Amino acid sequence: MLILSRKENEGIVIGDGITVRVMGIEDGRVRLGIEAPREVSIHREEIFAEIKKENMQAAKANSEMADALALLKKL
Amino acid sequence: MKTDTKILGNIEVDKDSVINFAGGLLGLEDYKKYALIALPDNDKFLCLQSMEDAGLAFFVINPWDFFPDYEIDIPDGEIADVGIGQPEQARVYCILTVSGEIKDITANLLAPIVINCDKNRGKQVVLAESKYNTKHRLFQ
Repeated sequence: MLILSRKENEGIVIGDGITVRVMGIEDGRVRLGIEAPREVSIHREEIFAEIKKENMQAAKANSEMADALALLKKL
Repeated sequence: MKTDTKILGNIEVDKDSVINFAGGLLGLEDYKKYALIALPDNDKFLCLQSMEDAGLAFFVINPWDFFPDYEIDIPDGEIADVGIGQPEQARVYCILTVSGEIKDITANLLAPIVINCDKNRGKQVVLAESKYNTKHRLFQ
C-alpha cells in the first residue's frame, strides 16, 4: 500500500482524471473532495462491506423457503 | 440445457437466457453467470440461480411489487457495462434475505440488480447516497 501524507487543500491524482483532495480536518474526521469521471463509481467502504454481508446472508436461500414463499403467491 | 439448481432440483434452463454479470455480485465476484427462474405457482418471487455453482441461489423480487414508491436513480456510468440504452431494456430486481419466519423477510433496496434483458447482462448496483438500506421488511 502506498501511503502519502497530505495537508489540508492538498490532493493526490490517481490515473487519468481522478483527484482526491483533503478539504478539511476536524476532530479526527477528514473531509475528502473527489473529482472523477462519471463512469467511476465511488462509495464509502462500509457500504460495500454491508452489501457483501447481506449477499452472503441472502445466499442461504433454500427449498424450504421456496415452499414458504409459494404459500404467499396470493399476495 | 439441464441444470442443477439449489431450490428447484435439476431443471431445464434456456442457455440463451443466462445472464452475464461481468463483475459478479458484491462479495461473490467469482460467480458471473446466473439464470432468473420463476418459482412454480408463484408470480411474485423468482430465483436467481448461479450457473456455476448449483449451491448458490437467491430469492429476488420486482421491488415495485412490494415497494410501489421505490425510487432509483442510477448514474449512467454505473450501468455503462450493462449497456442499457432504452429504459425498456432494463429489469430491476432486489435480493431477499430470508431467515426464519416469513415476517422477517427483508429486501435489499440499497443494492438492486439491474439486468439488460436484450443483452442478458446484469450488475448489482449500489445506490449512492440513497435513503435505502439492505434490510427493508417485505411485510410490515
